[in-house]
Amino acid sequence: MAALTETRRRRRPQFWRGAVALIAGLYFLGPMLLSVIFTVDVPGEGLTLGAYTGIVGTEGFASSLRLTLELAAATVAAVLLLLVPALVAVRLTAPRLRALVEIVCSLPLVVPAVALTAGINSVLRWGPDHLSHTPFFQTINAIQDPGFPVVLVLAYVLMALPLAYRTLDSGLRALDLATLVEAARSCGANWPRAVVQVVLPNLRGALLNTAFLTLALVLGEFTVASILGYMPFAVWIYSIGNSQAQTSVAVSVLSLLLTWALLLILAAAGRGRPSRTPRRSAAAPAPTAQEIP
Amino acid sequence: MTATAVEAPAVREAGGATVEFRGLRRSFGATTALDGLNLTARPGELLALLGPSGCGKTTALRMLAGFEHPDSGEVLVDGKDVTPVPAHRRDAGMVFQSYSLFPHLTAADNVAFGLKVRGTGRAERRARAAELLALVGLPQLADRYPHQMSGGQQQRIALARALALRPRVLLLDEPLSALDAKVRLTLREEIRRLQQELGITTLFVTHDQEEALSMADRVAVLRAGRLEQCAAPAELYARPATAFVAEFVGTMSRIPALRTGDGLVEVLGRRLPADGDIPADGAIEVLVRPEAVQVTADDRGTARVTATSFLGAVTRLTLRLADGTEVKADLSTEQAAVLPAGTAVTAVLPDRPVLVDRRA
Repeated sequence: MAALTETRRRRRPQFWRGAVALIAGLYFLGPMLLSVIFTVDVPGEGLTLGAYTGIVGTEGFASSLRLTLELAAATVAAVLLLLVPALVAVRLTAPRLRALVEIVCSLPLVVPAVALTAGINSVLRWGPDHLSHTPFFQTINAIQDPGFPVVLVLAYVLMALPLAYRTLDSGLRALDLATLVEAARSCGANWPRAVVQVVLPNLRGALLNTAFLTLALVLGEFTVASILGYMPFAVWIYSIGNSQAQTSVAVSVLSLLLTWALLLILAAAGRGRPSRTPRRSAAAPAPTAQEIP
Repeated sequence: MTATAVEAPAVREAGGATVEFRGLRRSFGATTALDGLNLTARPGELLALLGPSGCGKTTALRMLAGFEHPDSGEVLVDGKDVTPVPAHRRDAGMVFQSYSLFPHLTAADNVAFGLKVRGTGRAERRARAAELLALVGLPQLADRYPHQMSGGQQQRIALARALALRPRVLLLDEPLSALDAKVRLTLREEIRRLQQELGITTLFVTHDQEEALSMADRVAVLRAGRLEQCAAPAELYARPATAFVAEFVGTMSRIPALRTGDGLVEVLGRRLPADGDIPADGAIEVLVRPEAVQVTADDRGTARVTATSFLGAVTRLTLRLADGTEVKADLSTEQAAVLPAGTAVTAVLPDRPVLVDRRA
C-alpha cells in the first residue's frame, strides 16, 4: 500500500512535467523548425542549402553584421563603465542615494522606443544657424556618422539601463561589499585596488549577465536604428525580407544561432572559476565543520 | 589543536605596539558614539573592549583600523598619531564579525592577498601562506574556497590573513559572535594562544562579558562612548569601580540598606563597611554577587526560596526577602538540594566591605 501511494505520488509530477515540456517545446521549437524547413526545402529543387550559402554574398550582410557587433561592444563597454563605478560608489559611500539611482535607471522603461527616437530625431534636426560654425554643430554631425553612429550607442545605453541596473544590483546585493572592501584595505590595498582585485572578480557573474542582456538587446534592436535610418543587422534582415523571403528567414535562423553561440561563450566564461554563491548541496568532499571546528 | 609552535618565531619579530586613544569624539548625526574616550593598550597585551551595543567599542576599533575618523582626539600607535594615515597603511590586521574572506580566492590566496598587494614574490607568498595556515591549524584547507568551509574555519583563515603582513596591532571585531557555542569556546582559546605566542598587541571588541573575562589581560568597560573602568578581569569582577560595571560584569543583586552614621551600612541585619564612598543623600542599596550571599535553612527566617536553577556544580537560588526584594544566591548543588522552592531561609552577607549605590 505504501509502495503504491509512493509510485502514484511520483508519477503525477512526472506526467505534468512531460506535458509542460512538450507544450513549451512545441511553442518555442516549432516555429524554428518550420523556419529551417522553409529555408532548405525549395519547391522543385528539393533540399538545398542555397539560401544559407547565398547570405554571405548578399549585399550588406557583412557591413550590417559588423556594425551591429561594433555597436554591441561599444554599448556593453559604456553601460559597464557607467554603472559599475556608480553602483559600487553609491553602496559604499552614499546608501541613501540608492533609491534615486534606481528610479533614474528605471525611467527608460516608461519611455517607449518610438517616443525616444522621435525625441532624438527632433534634437538632431534642431540646429539654429548661429550655431552652424561651432563645435556643437560638429558634434551633432559626428555622432550621426553612418560608419559608426554614436547616437545609436547613446540610445542603446539608455534602453539597456533598466536591465543592467537589475542584474548588477542583484549581484552587489549578494556581496557584503563594505566588509570586503574594508578587509582588502586592512590587507594593504588602496581603494582602486580593492575594487579591481576584490569587488570586480566577485561581480563576475553579474557583469557577464549584464553584458549578455545588453548584447541581446542591441542584436535585436530595430525601432531606433530603423527610424534614424541606419542599417544594422536587424534592419538589414527586415529590408531583404521584403525582396527575398527565403534569404531573410535563413538570416533570422543564423542570427538566432549567433545569439545562442554568444550566450554559450559568455556562460562558459562565467564557469571558468567557481561561482561566488555558496553551493551547499554540492559541497566539497569530507572534512567540514565536524572535524575541525 | 596541535598547531605548530615552531613557526611562531617567524611571525613574532614584529613585536607589540603601544596603542593609545586620546580624547576620541565621534558622533553620527544625533547619536554620540564616542564621547571623549581615553584608553591605552600596553605592548603585547590582549585588551578587551566590552560594553552594551552602541557604547562605541566598535567605533573605537574602526578608528584604529582607519575606517572611521574622529571628530576630535588622537589615535597613537607607539606615540605617533596615526589619524591622518589611510587604512591601507595602518599596519593593523583585522578580523571582522561577518565572514569577510574573499569569496573568489582559495584559503591560501586569501592569506597571501596582502603579500600580493605588497608585491612579494610568488614563492615567498606561498611559503608564508603555508606557514600561517599551519599556525591556525588548517594546512589541509589551503585549496578550499570560503563557501567550502565552516564558519569557524573561515574565521581562522581570516585570522591567518590578518597576521600575514606581520601587523603591529591585531584588531578583532566580535570575531566569534557568528559562531555556535562550542566552536566559539575552542576558537577563543586558540586566539588567546596565538596572541600570547606572537606577543602582538590585540584589541578585542565583544559584548559577551564571559568572553572578555576569560581571554583578556585587561578589560575596558565602555558606556555611552566613555571608559567606565579598565582593569584585569579579576579586579573588574571583585572591585568594580562603578555600579554600571558591577552590574554589566557578572550578576549583581541590589539589596536595600541603611546608613548607620558611623560610616557603615546596615544590610540583612549586619553592619558592614562600604567599599568606596556612601552616597550622601537618598535611599541606598548594596550590590551583592550571588556567590557572596550565604543561605541557611531557618524556620523563623523571613526570606523564602522562590526558584532554583541548576547550573551544574552550583545551583542558583532566587530568594524573596521580607520587603519583596529579589536576591540571587549561588550554592553548591549539594547544599541547594535541601532548599527547594518555598523553604524559609535566612540570608546573610560575609563580613567584607560592600559596594553601595543610590537606589536605582
